[in-house]
Amino acid sequence: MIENTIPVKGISLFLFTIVSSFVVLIYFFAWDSQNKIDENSNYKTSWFQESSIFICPLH
Amino acid sequence: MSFALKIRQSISDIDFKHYGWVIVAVGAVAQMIGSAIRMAFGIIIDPLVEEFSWDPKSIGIAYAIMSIVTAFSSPIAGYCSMKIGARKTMYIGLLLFLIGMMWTALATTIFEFYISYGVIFGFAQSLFLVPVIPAVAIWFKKRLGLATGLIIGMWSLGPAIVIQLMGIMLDSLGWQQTFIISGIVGTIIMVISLQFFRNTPQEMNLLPYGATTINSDKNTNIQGENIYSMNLQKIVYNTNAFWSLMNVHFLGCVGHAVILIGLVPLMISKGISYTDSVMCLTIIMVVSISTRFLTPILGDSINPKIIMFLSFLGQGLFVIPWVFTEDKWMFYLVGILWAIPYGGEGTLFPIMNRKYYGFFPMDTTYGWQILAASLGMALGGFIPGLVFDVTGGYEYAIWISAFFSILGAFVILTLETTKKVLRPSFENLG
Repeated sequence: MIENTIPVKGISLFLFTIVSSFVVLIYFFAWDSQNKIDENSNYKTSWFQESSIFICPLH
Repeated sequence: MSFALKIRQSISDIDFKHYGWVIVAVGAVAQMIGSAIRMAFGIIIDPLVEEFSWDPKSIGIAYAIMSIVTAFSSPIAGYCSMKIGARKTMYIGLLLFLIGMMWTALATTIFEFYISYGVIFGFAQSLFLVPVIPAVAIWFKKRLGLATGLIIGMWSLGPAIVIQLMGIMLDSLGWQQTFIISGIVGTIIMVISLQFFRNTPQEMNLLPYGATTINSDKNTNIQGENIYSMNLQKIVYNTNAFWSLMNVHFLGCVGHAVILIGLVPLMISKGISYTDSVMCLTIIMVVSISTRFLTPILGDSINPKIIMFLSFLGQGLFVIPWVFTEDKWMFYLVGILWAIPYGGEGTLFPIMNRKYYGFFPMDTTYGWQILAASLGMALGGFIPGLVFDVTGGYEYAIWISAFFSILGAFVILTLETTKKVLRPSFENLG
């Protein structure tokens, strides 16, 4: 019998992986941006660097 | 009966006269040509810098474009293969391959290089490579593990041979002549090979390897009943296994891409010479050939879920000693240990697809899995450089690799048993 159910477990784990990947990237991007700002107070950050620092709770 | 006797018996039972082995040979040649040019990218960077004074970073962007185009066009390639057949899809891929090679050789601006190598060759690669494994799967009802093992083994062996040949040609003929000659020779070999290629056993009035009866039901006419295939594909999308296998392929590729890109710089950062560091990578490649070949066979005959779980777990755990290792020989020893699960990690997907979806065209499903794998390789390749910029070392990258591989092992544990088909296949839909 063919069923039409939403594969909740599979999609949830898939989303967890996507979130984990972004967490890793954002954490290191924020760390990198913070280092650059600490080294040079006149350093001009891009929107991307600012966003990573804003999103990352550890930086 | 002893184990050795069982193996001997099993090998003697194989019918090598079946036409399916010709399809395997054509698939292996396609893999060899398609993947070799991609792997050879590293050896054309210097000649391009010399001739056009392009920045190596800008040249590297072409490789990134190619990887992204290949990734996102893989599901399209799978869909085309299911819709018009693997043979026609591979012919289109071959035409693009030839155009890409010629144009790359004649490119004079970096933008042209991005289009020819990045876009055209990237698309050619997915059309060329994605249909191969699903086509072989249609030819083998039994012994799929051996058939895919032989093809996947060529992923490592083929590029190793072709890169050597291209290296010699580059020295004597220059990079432009090398690309033109490789393009023409590769195309001729593939045109000849594809003459022997058939999409399905039905086209030759044959049974798939290991099938015992001809099912006259319209559902068995795989290429002719595309609407039926498409409808069944929608059911595949509704299974947890579809999403989890994509997920697992992504995680595994992040796990090993970090190592393949970051191991040599890690060893150099610990005072080991460049030559010795490259040797470690070579050892890994050589050792992994054996498990690339053996794992699908083991998975097909034992339990692919367990073998896949152990491969992911091994790939995740065996990288950890590298964080603490300083000695060259310890790097080599850990490299040998790591290469065993690494070789087996990515080779079981066709077997898992077969176990879950039965004797059903896996082109589109496999295309999505290749998309996930390619994105995983892209992310994994990016991480070591980013980590080094921040920390000045590669140790964090190793931990990230371990995390992604072990997460993959965990996702495998959540998969359903492979002992029964999840959804109706062509055999049991009447």
